[in-house]
Amino acid sequence: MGRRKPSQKNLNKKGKPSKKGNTKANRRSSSRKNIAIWSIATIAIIAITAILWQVSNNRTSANQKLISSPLPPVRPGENAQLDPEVRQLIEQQIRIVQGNQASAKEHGTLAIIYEANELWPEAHRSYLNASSLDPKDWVWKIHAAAAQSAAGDFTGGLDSIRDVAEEFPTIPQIQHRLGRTLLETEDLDAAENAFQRTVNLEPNSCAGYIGLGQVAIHRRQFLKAAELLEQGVRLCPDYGLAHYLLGSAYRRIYRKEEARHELAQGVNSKSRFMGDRIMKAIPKYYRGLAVQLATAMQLLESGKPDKAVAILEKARIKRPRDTNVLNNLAIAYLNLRQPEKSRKALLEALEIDPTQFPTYINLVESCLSLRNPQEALTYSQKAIELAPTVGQAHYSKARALMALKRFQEARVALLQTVRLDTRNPEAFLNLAECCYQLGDREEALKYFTTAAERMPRNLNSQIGVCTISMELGLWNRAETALLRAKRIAPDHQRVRQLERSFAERTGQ
Amino acid sequence: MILQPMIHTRRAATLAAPIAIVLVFVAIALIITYRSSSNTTAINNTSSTTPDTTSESSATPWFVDAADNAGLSFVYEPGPKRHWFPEIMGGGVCLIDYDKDSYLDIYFVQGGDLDPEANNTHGNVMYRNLGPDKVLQIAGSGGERALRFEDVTDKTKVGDTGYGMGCTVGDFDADGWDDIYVTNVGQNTLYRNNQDGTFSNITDSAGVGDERWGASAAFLDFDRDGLLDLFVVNYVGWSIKRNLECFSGAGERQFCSPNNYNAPVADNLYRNNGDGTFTDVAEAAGIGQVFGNGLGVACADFDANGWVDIYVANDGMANQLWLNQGDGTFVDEALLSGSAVNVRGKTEAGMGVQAVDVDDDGDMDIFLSHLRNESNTFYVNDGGWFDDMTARMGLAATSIDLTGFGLAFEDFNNDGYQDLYIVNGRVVRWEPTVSKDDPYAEPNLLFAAKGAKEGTSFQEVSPPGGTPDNLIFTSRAMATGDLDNDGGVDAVVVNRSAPANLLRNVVNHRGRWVSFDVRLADGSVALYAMVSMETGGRKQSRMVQRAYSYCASGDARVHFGIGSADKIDRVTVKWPGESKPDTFGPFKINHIYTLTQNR
Repeated sequence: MGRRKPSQKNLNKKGKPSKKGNTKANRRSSSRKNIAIWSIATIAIIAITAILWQVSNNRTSANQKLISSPLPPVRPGENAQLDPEVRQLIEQQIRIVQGNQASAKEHGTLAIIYEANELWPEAHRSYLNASSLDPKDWVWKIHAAAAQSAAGDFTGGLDSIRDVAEEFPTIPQIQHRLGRTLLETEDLDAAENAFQRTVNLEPNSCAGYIGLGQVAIHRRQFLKAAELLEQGVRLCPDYGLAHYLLGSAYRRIYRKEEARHELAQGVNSKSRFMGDRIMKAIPKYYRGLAVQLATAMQLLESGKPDKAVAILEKARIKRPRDTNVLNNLAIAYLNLRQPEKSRKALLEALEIDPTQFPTYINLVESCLSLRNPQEALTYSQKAIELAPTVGQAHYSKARALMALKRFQEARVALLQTVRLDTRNPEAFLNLAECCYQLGDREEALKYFTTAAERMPRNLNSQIGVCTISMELGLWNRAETALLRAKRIAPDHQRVRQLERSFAERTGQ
Repeated sequence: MILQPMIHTRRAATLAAPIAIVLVFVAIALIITYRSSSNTTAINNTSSTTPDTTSESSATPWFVDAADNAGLSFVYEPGPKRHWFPEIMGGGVCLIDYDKDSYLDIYFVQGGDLDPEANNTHGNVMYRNLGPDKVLQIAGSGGERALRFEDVTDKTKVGDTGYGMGCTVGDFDADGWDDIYVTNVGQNTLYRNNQDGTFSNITDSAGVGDERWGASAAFLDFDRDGLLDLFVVNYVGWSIKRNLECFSGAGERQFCSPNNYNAPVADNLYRNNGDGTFTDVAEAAGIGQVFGNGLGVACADFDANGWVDIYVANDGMANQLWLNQGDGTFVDEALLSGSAVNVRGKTEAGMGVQAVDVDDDGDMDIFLSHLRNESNTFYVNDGGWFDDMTARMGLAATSIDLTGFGLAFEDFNNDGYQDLYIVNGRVVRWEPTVSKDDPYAEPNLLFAAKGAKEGTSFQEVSPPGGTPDNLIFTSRAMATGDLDNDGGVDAVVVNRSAPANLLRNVVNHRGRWVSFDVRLADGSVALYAMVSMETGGRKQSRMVQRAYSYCASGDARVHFGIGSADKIDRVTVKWPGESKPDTFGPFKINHIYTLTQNR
């Protein structure tokens, strides 16, 4: 489709188009040129608009190009000191990625492996690869940003989180992470906005409220903080950090006793982000020994001793002479109610190193579970020989003595325990029990009360206080303890019995 | 003729409009593309946490390491590489004018070999400051006065060969001469100053030779009887028999953490009996019943009730704030007060600590140095309630990758605001290392204070660590003081398996200053007295203290920088336990004065 030849009528002597433009033909010609120019301009505008659109969509065109350009897997740094099992896992996944270099999922799995084993720079780069290949999936991007921060580039990580939050404004997990990161930088207004968006997007999650409460604490608006954190605690009653923060707010509005209670409940609890599928997947890839031990302990704490045992048995194969592994394995078996296996592991540990204090302490527990208190007592005495100033050793002895019903001696050992280690609230509970068995109800009440103060959510302490208070005719005290016990476990058989008994005696 | 230009004009317009639109689009495209590429750069910028310290004025060094020239050659020897826990934690340093020549001498606490069969020959070392009469012109020092020290360990008889951790200084027998208490892994040592350039080891007769693993210690008069008592922080119930083996993920031997041992211990509170002996009253005082992995200690009247309190930095456990009840007992109110754990409710690895009134409001704030992945933490005191203000003060991000030990707030540049120096060094190995020679070595941090109405904050100084070449060692104790009495606060740093640093203050255009040696009526140092100074309408507040930082003891004199002020209007001293303050002044600038309590 060439341009039309100019009309013959409009040609001059040299056969070139006439410059006279006031003719009809000239005007037609000029009009055609205008149309052509406008057409070119329109095409150019459309093309540039397309480029702009692509660029403003986070370099979509570049990403699309990357989809057809496979990405090599990220390899661990040259200096990385890796546990052999971690290295094996990484190399296995690298091979998978090499066979499927355009797969966001496989790059992402490699990233998760790196994150699970705290290889943050490698995790960051692998998440970037996954997000390049699958730019629509926010989860790669937010974890890339988090890994960037964890790798030491906090400012860059913050910028990345901001970008992701802008790109995916309706994902509450992203808004929450943004809020948390902004809070770290004391950008309180921006953090507040992010947490408020979290609440708006996910009003049934405690995360946003707790974030808003933290912002209020930073602003020293303690009354407002208390209200927000109370809401957070209502939504997540088991989240320790929420309790700690609520205590922090209470102390500044002079609700001291409540503050003490909340602070004690929440101190040293783990902070957590709103969950996503990567966070769920990470534990599958824990491989390093230290990480494995920590994971096993977490599993034990969360009531999954079978899984802990599985991890620790693998660790034992790798480190058969590691007394730390053997001790942890023994604890896991104890939790799994397999005390014989626990004892066996501990005796192995003892053979490797007979001077390890924790081995004796754990042996006491195993023997007690095996209903062999005499053997337990022997091990507790060895523990005391090794560490006479450590309360735990005396506590073990007391437990063995209690199992032997030698309450007088057990009381002496427990008094020594609490003298050496006031941090052990269980010791007060046992001391109370000993005193009760010895007929010393006043002392028993004193120690049950201490145990209840130290462990506000411990049912046995409240039951102890209530029972003895009733026996001593201290009805107000008994009622308070009963109310607390009902709050902890309203349907517990002992609580119901106490309730009936209290009602009969007081006529209530 | 008339139309042609018109047509031409029309054609030009016809062309110009689309071209202009295209150009605008191209420009926008370029801008967006540029911004987009800028974002990418930011994401990949791994060094962006470093504050902007490129300004010319801040790029000149604040210190030079003058140890070599000054004749200091102390190296802390941790012992053979057995990964026994104490081998990564020492050692200590104290500044003491033991001969009363008005120049601070330096006492280093040495490690050695923990194995009892090795017969440890490494002892502590005393360096005497030769003072102004013997100042030498050192090559390369620019003709300035140079510091010079001589090793007087044998002469002074203070070469304790226990496996040393730290030390503290105080005149416990109130004879006007400073004595030394040394903490060891094993029996601690008390040296009494004989007033003749020698010391006597009176540990056994004084009854202060606790055999546990002592860390930091502080003298204080907790019962206000006019005699200095002694508080000793103990770390972990460790012994060679109980040493654990810990490993990295790759199976390499590592030093264990205190939590591996789960053997926290109680601290000592020794009451001075006034006859050269002490009685450990920790249990009766309520302190001996609570256990912790203590490393640092700072004393001050935190709740402003007239009685000096004790703050203990615990490693991996909640810190303790022992509030003095005035009846010989203490109550730990750290958790309720907000100074036990950080703003997220997490315990941190407390190492060094200092009580400091950084905002000059008259009450004592608390700063602690911590492990890697925890920031250092600043608890600001607001009427007895503490708020973790670390991030707001600009002290969080810079410390997150380092393990802090010794620290000091001092007005190094004499601008009227207290700056902050922190020395670092790892306790476990990880990659990448900073030094090829020492896997635990880390650089120091120096922050300049930025005072403002809306609150004090800090900015990292360039060059990093304030020295021409950043000093990268496994640093532990640091003590600060004006070693050459020139009005610039200097520092001494102990390094593990490397020479100690003597950081001589060389701040360019340093401000004017005044220092006060604050004494009670009986002539002893007025420990924990609050000194406030007004000049040019601004009030500064400092506490008389010696025991701060980590396993260290510094200059007891209070030092004020005053910028360009030309006179000191008034100085007020609030004596410990006294309700009526004394007022002194006016004073000339650039002088050291002694202020004595009026009675």
